[in-house]
Amino acid sequence: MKIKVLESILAGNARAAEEVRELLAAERVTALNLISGPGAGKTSLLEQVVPRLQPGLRVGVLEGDIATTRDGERVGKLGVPVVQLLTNGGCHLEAALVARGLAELDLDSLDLVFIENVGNIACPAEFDLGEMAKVGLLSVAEGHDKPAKYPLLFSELSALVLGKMDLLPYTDFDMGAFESDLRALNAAAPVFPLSCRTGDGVGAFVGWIEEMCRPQLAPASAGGTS
Amino acid sequence: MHELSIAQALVDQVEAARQAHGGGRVVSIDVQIGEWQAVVPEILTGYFDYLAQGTPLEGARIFIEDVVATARCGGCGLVFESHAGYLPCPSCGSVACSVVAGKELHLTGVELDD
Repeated sequence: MKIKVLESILAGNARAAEEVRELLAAERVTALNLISGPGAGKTSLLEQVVPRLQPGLRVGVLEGDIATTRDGERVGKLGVPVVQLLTNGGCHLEAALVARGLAELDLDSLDLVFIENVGNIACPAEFDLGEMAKVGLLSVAEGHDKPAKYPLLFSELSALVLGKMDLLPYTDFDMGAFESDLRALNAAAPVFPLSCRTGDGVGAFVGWIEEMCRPQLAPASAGGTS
Repeated sequence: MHELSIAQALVDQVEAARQAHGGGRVVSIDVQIGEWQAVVPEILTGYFDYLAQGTPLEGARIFIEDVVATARCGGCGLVFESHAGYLPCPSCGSVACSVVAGKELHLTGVELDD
């Protein structure tokens, strides 16, 4: 007997992601899924960005790693709530694990949650976590050819941070080729060149994050009459 | 490594389909994998075989259909292959193109032995 089926193999993850999305919407919390290769600088980026978002935005972090709590400890020093998500070998985060992490955060007291994915630019692209937007981070040291080699991720990004710009003169990173390959996959995502070492360019990215969060923020109570 | 997660999800899905149709052994399954998914078929089938051991799915053949990345232009209607990108349209230059294939990760059929 042959049974016809047509269902995404990742339908289970998609259902869990939808539950996360509904929870975040109800709590008026914005979630950004931060994706990059290992060593591109996700944690350094958070160390730069989180202090600049405060106190205007109340930030929490879900810190995904295959093993060790080192990144979670680094982010914890920023004084924001952090939940370390360990995949124990898994190369990406899935929505069910994110849901468990969110349950450990007091969402009532947060406006924004960064979900720092496991360092990997292939697998995380396939798994919806219920986030509002995927934010990619590519460091110039990794090379300009990454969009063409990982089309799924770069086609789905809402924004791309181009990191380690202070190293640009020491690399063969071809900005023209990079932009042309990226725009072949993604016409709209803004690109934020920056350096976490110098702080150059970080402000523009912080401004974008604030704009992403604004629609979800509760109306200012200061203006209310009741 | 994501093949392991995908194989586990596939095993769960095939088992659900099997039970919904009266049980029996699974003879084969049909799977579509889009070019952009970066799934290695041999690794996926290896994990599937491993996870299926000792279950009614053990020994099932997996037929994988590779789906070429394809896009359609919203301007001129051209359908074209889009391996590393799909913008702009190679014919009219419009950026109003959309991906129509290449992101599949689908179970499309299950064959049972009764």
